[in-house]
Amino acid sequence: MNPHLEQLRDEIHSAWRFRWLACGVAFVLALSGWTVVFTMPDRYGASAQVLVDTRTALRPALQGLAVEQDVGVQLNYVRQSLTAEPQLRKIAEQTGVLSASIRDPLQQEQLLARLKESIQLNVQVGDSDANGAGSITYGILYQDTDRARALRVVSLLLKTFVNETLGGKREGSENAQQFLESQVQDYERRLRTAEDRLAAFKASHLGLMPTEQGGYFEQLQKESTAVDDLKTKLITLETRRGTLEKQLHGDAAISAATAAPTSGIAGAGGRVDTVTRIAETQAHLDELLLKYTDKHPDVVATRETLAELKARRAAEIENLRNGDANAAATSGASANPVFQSIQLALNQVDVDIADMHAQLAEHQTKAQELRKLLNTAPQVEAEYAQLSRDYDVNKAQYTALLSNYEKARLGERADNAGSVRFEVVQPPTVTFQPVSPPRSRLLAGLLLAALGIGGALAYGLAQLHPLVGSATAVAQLTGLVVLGVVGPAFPKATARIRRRQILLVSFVVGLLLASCVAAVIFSRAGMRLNIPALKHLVHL
Amino acid sequence: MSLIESAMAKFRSGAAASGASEHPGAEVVADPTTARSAWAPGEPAYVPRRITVNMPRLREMGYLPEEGEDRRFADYYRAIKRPLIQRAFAPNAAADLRLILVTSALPGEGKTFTSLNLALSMARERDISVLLVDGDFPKAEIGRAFSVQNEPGILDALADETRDVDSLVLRTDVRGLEVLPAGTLADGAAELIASGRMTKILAWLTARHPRRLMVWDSAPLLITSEGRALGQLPGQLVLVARSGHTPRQALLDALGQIDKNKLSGLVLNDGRVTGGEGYYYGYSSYGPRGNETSRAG
Repeated sequence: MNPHLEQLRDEIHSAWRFRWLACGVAFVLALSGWTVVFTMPDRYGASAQVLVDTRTALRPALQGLAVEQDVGVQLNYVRQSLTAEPQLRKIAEQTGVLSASIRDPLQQEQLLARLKESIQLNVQVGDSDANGAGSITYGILYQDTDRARALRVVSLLLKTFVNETLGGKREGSENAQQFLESQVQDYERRLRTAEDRLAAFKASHLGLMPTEQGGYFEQLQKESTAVDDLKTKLITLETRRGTLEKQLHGDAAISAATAAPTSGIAGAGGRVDTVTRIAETQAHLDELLLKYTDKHPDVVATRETLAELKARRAAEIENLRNGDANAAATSGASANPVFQSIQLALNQVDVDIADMHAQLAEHQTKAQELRKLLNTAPQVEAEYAQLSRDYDVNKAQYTALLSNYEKARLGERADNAGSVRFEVVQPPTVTFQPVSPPRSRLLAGLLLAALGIGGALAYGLAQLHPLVGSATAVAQLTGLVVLGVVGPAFPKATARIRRRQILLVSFVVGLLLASCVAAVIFSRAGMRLNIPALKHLVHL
Repeated sequence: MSLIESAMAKFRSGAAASGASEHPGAEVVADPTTARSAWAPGEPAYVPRRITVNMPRLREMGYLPEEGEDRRFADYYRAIKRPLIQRAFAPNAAADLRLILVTSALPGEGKTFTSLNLALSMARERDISVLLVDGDFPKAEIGRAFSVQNEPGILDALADETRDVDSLVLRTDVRGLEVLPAGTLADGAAELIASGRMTKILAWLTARHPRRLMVWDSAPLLITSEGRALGQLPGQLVLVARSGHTPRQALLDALGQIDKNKLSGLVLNDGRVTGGEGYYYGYSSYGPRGNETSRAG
């Protein structure tokens, strides 16, 4: 046999001797408990349900456009304010829970506390969308011994609930709008003054305003740079001109003039340059020498002409070197294309230099003018910057406020149009049958408790007064030798007696059960006991 | 055929012969065949009286176990009696060790049952005899069990010094078993027990029969003064407790009342015989079932 089972059997066996005590205690407890249950007053339950839907067709359309109001927070606020002392007192007075005849503040407090305890608010959150908006069902439950009063309390609570939420929202929203409006006006005024100031300033400092090209310093910088730039360019041009001039009078031009006889051109021009003539004379001389001796006068004459020509040529070259224009022309260098191109370039450079000089003069004048304003212009400029900054800030604020204000107005209109929807799902109703106390359950529970206490008492007494048990236990207890254990001498008779005992106890317990059933039937049928002393006890 | 069976058979025939007797369970008959005329010189001659033991009646009264339990109970008491006998007949054992007092803390724990069954078991021993003494004076249960409650007994011998206690011993038809009734209860039994006369009687009883054990049924220790007074006399004490009945505290209190050196041990009635049941059931399945009777041990 299982040792635990054996121990259990021993303990039941040990407690068995207190069975009648246990039965008696159970009987007394059950009966007295039932009496109390029968004196408890009936309580009727009234309830109502409101659906608060923050998710309507308008919401997605208004997404980001309107200021959204946190309805969840507001409802919580209402929940708290509903059961707050002043609100509760109002409801209690209106429904007659707190009658005017009760003057004692302590008693009033007690009544209000009981009322608060009896009011139950529950919340069922429906499926909500991504924005946290959804439908919330608020249930209001209240129990009272007076059926009509229960209904009155719930109706009033419902009314307060809906009004509070709507009223609270309106008030808050209005405040926000008023604030926005005043701010908008304020900024408008400021914007206007800033605008005026800026215009006046601009008028008084005409010409000193920063233009598209930039501010004062930028302009000055630009002019100075332009002057420097032009100067550099001028120097470059001068250098170029010098080089060109040198080229024109240099060896190159001379060699060109001497080394390139152009008979064609010379002939066409009617004018024969010196070089050609020298060549012709040389040729003529060579021809004469073939026929004549050196003494021939022709030869002598030709030789004189040649010498003269050579001298002229030397003079021409000298003149060219000195830069004589006529010399060039006479020398025949001007007819040379190289010489001509150099001349052309030289002329172009001269024109450029003249242009540069003119520009330089203009920029220098401008820079000088600007330098004269060195003390006044930056100041004006700074003032202007400040003024325009003020203006810009005011303008930005004003624009933002204006858009917010418009949004808020839109949101308010949207709420009024049903962005938050209240729907009384279940109007205030009250049960016909009392909901409390749960008499049947209480009766049964008390029966079980009474039996349990009786059993526990028997068990406890058995533990307090232990009996001699097994041989080993006795040996341990006394420290003596156990000569022998004698088994039950009359198992059949004992079993018979035990059966009778069990039957008897079962009968008593059965009687108690039957009484419980009878009590439940009576309570269902509406039987109540009216014992003032006990009623007081129940109320406590 | 067992002894008890023969005894019962004898009883039945005797009861049938005597017809309507005053005591249905047993009757006291003068037995001239066993008269001991030559006892000891100077002693008054008497006729030893015989009673028959009515086993069904004993069973009916609850002094024997229910039918079907006999073999098991024979084994229980066989185990219990062995150390007691060994102690009583050990070499150089004191004479008073042959005096075994069966006592308990409270009534209803099975003293009479134990002493009766123990005595019956001991009587089956071959070479010793047993004198069962009714020491529970107020109730005299042994006397009622054998229907000899009106017979003179040990109290009479205590009160009347001229009376020979041996003449009051009743023989039974169970071999080796004799019974000494309580006798007529007088006031001051406790004082009588504590008197020198008691010691003398006991000495007489033990000395006269060296192979005879005395089993005394006694009154509860915690209830009666007689019980406590008796507890001082014998050499061996057997304390009876009943499982599921005797409060532990009562048992401890009772132990405080007696001389622990004299205590041979405890007998636990109504107890759970651990591990033995299976063996017993198995064993009994070999033998005949039903109205089974024990064999001599």
